[in-house]
Amino acid sequence: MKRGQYSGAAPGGKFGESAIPLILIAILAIFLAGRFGIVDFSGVPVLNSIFPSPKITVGVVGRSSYDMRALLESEDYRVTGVYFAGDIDQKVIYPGVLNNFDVIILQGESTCDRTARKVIADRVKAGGKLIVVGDACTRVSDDRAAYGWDIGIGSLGDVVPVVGGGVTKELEMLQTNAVRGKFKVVAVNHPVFNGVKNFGFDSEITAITVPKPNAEILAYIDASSIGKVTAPSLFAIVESKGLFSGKTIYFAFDPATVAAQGTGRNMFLNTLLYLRGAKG
Amino acid sequence: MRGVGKTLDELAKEIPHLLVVAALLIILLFVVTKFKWVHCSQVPQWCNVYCELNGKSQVAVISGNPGDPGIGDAAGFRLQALNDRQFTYIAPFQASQITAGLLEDYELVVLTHWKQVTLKQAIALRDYLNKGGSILWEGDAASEYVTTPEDESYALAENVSKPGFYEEYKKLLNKTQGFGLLGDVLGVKYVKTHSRTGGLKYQSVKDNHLMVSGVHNFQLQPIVFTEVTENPAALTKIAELNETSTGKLYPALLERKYVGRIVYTAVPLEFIGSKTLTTNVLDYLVSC
Repeated sequence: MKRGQYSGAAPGGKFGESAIPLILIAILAIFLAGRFGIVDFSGVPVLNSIFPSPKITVGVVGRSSYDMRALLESEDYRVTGVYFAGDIDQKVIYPGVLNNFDVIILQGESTCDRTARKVIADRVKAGGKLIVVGDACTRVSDDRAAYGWDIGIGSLGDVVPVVGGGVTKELEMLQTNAVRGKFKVVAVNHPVFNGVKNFGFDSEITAITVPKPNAEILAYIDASSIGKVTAPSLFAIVESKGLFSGKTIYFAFDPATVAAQGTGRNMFLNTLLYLRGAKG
Repeated sequence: MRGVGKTLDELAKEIPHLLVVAALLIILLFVVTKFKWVHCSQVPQWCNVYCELNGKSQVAVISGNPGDPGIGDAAGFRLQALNDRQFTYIAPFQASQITAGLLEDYELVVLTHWKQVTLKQAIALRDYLNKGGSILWEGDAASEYVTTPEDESYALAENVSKPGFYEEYKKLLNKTQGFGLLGDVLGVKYVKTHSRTGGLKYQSVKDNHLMVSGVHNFQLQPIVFTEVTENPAALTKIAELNETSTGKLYPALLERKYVGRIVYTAVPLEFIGSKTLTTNVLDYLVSC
């Protein structure tokens, strides 16, 4: 037998040698999965010291509502890893500005110019996560004939799952009104609604026209007598579906205001946690 | 374990094939984007890659002299375009400067404020389109054929070696009306240019077209525009002008997919006052 050859009497040695690269590859894969947040090891003993609960950096493009700011800065959100980075004026959004945010929220500012729209859309297409609230980013400052999220080619319209302002080209502004009714979950098994039941709703809601074909309706507001399936209803939460690695969730109401009323606090936290790991 | 090793070996052998498939896919994407069958923004992250490979787009704005007939404002258009696309090279040219060689360097040629065209210029434009160039055609550009002393001399010189050339040339010029030979490529016929007209509404016909993305119907200020008739078999009508007092409709924005793309606008974009529409049209015709 030549030197370096294995004898048939020691098959375990050959197995051990062949298995070493595979084990190393597996360890490397686990490390990378944990490092980039593909797998959450924060609940696994021993591993949670190496991979602590990942931080979710949230930025609001526009002006966050008082309730939203209070919610994002609250103790339970911080303990879960939510870090609120503050409000960002749409005028200062240029390529690269949003790269450090895990979740971007559009709220409180109806005007977003083309550069901001393009940068936000590109971020989502590259894997970023977006929450749109109400009628945020539906206008541009220099053109009164332009309205909605679809302004521009390859822009925000590609990633927002709803259409605003009518199905025809006649200009119909989005209407935001106070509505009293019942919040009803459609996608009952969706992670956003873990532990969340239907609840009474009394807040302002934006009446979007229609979800796009690549969207999934997660919840709606039954705006009239409770429990009547033929009663008028409004879309409440709509999620994008598609091959893009990013994800957008549209809220027709301010989830923080609803949370401040004592309902839906967990739902918004679930939304942020879900977006942290969400794929197309 | 031996089985796993064998599988890994087989996978390693497939790597060159996978690389070839990936390369072919990129080439295919490049070609379909180059000829504008798809817009680079329709494929996630492709615009960045395509523009790295292709380089920045160049646009030529061709117009007549300021005192020449024709509607449109070349300087105004260029200013608007430069505001929206700071990284696109936009070069102004006088109509008298154009040759086939000059045009082929540009991804898009804009024709504005240039009514009177010579036969040689029209042929240069047609050849540019046949080679896959794209044109944004405004108002009454190239709708009146004229002859210049240079053209006369050229025709007379050609007549020496090709008897009858001069007569044919004159005959062709005399019977040419409107857009002439370019009209066949464009798919529209010139009717007339309306002087400043009020009460016009700009309304889209093909609502889901990228050029009118986010643009809602709107009332125009009193404005000059060109009336044309289109060949519906060859064109897509994107928007029209509605004369609200009479209910008469005029084609406003037309597209023809020739080898490249031809977009015709009856009202020069720089006069319309919708920055979104101008940006959309440019983004649609120019990728980088």
